[in-house]
Amino acid sequence: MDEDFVRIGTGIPGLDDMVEGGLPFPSTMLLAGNTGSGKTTFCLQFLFEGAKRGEKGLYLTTLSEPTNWMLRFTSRFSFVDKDAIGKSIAYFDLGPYFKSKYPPEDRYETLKRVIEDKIVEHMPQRIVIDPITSMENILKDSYREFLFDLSQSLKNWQAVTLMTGESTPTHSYPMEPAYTADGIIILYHLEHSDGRRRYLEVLKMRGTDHMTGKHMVDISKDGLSVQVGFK
Amino acid sequence: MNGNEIPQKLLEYLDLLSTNSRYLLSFSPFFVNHFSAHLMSYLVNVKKIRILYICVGRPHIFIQKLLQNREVPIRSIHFMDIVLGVSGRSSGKNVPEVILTNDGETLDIPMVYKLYKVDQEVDSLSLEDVDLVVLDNISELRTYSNDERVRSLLEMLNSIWENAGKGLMVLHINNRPGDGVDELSSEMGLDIVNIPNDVFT
Repeated sequence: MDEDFVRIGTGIPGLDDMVEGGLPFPSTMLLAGNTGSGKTTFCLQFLFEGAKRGEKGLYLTTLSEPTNWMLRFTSRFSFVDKDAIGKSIAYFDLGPYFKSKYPPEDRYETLKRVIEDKIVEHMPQRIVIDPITSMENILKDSYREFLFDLSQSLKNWQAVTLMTGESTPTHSYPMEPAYTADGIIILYHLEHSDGRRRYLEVLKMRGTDHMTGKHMVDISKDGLSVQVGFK
Repeated sequence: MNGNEIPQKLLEYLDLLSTNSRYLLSFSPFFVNHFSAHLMSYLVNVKKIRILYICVGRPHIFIQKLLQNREVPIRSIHFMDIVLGVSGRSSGKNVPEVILTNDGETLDIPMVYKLYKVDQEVDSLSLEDVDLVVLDNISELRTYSNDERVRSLLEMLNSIWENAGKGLMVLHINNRPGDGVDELSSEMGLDIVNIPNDVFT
């Protein structure tokens, strides 16, 4: 592979081994999964890994979830460094910009401007947009154009961006963000006869000789870890 | 320290630079925005000099936004975008070319580019209105061109600025140890400065 590729460690044990040492930097990644598969935990672990390395992170939520509410359920993980919050890791709620006071025709430019303003302010190396798919109802026909525009902009801002999206019974990943993403990682939470199990699959990763197939995922107090080779 | 202040450790490196000399400034790919923003803030706010900022790989609007957010006045900066030229796209007959002059003499720089002052596109620039040139960044050139073309371009730019008596700072993202950029820069008389990561934290 091209020696010029810079890679950024994810902080997810096992995953970096699947993708030649880390995610290409800069790039945009689609992290898809069904409910309970671990998407938010993955994203936080990714950001806190960056904080540990002296990097900046930006978490953009579209769900209008207050910071303390989100942290309430994640603070039990050992990777969480509460001192990093508000310093190395900035949390910003995009939810207010989805409200009806912004006319639909303005929401595209407003959202793009707000996201860029936050990036310019914090200069993060790691960005999370969770979930990206909630923008579809807001942007409607201009959603695909917005995704393309945003994806190009994010790469020019020199960061790795994780965009999360819900899987459905018929689609393991949302189609629209997949077109513009440099990589697609899917988390599964599947039913077995003896209960549910979690898996991770790297479906696509540009410029990377990545491992394929579903690999078991464990979630413990230390966060997510991929049991590479266990399928 | 707020986000707009230049970190003290980085300031110590920048204070060692002379704006009349020519440098290769080498740093981690993870701090591209940080270094560009702090360097420009230093050159404009502290040294108060006029800059020609050449952008390769991404349009100038990104660095412009970083600077405006940090209240760095951009009226003393001309931005030049040379993304088109080095990406291999050929110039059409109707593409306007920017005229660069020095002492009334037109400089022959064979590439397609655009020039901006604040948010206005301009079609000419005299080097008498510039104190220093920043090239952001030589590593991006290698995405589009082979080593020979990169060398050729760098030699041409270095020669122009040296003859015009202008300072030159070439930004180098050190994502590939042993890429030959250090050696090339030394051959052309550029001083090499390696910026460590810990100056940003």
